[in-house]
Amino acid sequence: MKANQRQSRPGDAPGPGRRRVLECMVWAGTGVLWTVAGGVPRSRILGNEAEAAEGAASFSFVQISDSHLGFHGAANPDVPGTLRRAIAEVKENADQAAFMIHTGDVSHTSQPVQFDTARTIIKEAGLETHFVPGEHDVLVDAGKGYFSRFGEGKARWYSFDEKGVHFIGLDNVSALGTKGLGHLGADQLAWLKKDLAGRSASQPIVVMAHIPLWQVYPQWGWGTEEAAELLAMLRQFGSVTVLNGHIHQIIQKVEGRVTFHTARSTAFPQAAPAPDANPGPLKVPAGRLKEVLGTASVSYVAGNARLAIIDTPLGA
Amino acid sequence: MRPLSAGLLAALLATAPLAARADRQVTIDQHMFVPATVTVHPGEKVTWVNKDQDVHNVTSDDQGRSFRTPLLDAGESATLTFAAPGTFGYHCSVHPDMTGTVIVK
Repeated sequence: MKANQRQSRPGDAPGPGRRRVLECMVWAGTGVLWTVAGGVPRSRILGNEAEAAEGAASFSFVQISDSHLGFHGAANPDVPGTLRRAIAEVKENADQAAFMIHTGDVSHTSQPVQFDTARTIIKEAGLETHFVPGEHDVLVDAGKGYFSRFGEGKARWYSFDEKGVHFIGLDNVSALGTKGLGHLGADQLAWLKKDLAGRSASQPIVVMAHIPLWQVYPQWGWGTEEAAELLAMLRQFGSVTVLNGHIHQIIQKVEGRVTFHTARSTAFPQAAPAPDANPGPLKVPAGRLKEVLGTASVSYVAGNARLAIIDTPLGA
Repeated sequence: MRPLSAGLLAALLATAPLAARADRQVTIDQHMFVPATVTVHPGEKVTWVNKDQDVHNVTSDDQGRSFRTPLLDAGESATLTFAAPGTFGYHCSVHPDMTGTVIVK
């Protein structure tokens, strides 16, 4: 990951207002535009014109995450505002995207008004949106408020195909494991096994879940208990991309032909894992915003045998 | 941890005034319960005050979840009265890595 300052352009801003908003958006995160070319998903941060020309592939989608409507701490006093900014950015790029995914924590405390406000804002993008739940979405009444609005079908998990790519939406938050780790459960794993059975190993697979599906930092619950079992099921496929939220920062990892990636939040950042840090909302001093959270986009490029990661700084 | 006795009274009083006894306060901040261990006498109260930006609760570790506060948003608090002696481990159900202990003796 590379920090990078986003520069405002002459004529871009009539006053400090817009520039300030853009600076905020750098750390709050906007959306990630995913492009699937030749079965290999590639990502770039929205608003990065330098790479826009590369979006001329067959099919792309946008990922947003961790809206946390209802949060009103010092780390971001205007969570609806930053979500609106993110959606505005998505809208500007909507002609490139087939749909959008939201990787959980739509709300902060599972209140109906939070879900409804988020839904209203997200609809502004004009894109069909597939959601997976975050633990903040299922705090009340087993997540009824979330699933009644954003659920797909009767189960808490689902799959669909888009232009030959198989998308899987998992729920690893309804029954948290020990130490807050994500937990899928036997029913969901059995369903997944069936869902994958008989598929061609050449079909690209995209798996979505809120909590990282690999062990990022188990001390903070940043991982999923059945990660090894899940990986074993996915290993047979030639291109697997696992998209998560939860940790409010970009972290990625490549394991064999499986690429793991977490998206930023549209609400507030969290600290990088470290023994002397804590996983709560991180208040970034205004003067250090660009320094600390100048963002990096990451691209996946097919090598001969495995995927490679290339840092792509914003506005470079 | 021994099983909780039926004498444990888990009364939720969001705005309970502190009694003039050895009642204890636990502050929730930076994803931690501070202090992590408090000791009270039977019948005394423990109040958790959420000074964090995040939402938390207090959930007993035992299978039966014999005590559990509502979700506490930033600035909210909850009070439990511990009637019977014992050692009671608890955690935040939203962030189970946050843990604490109430000793009643």
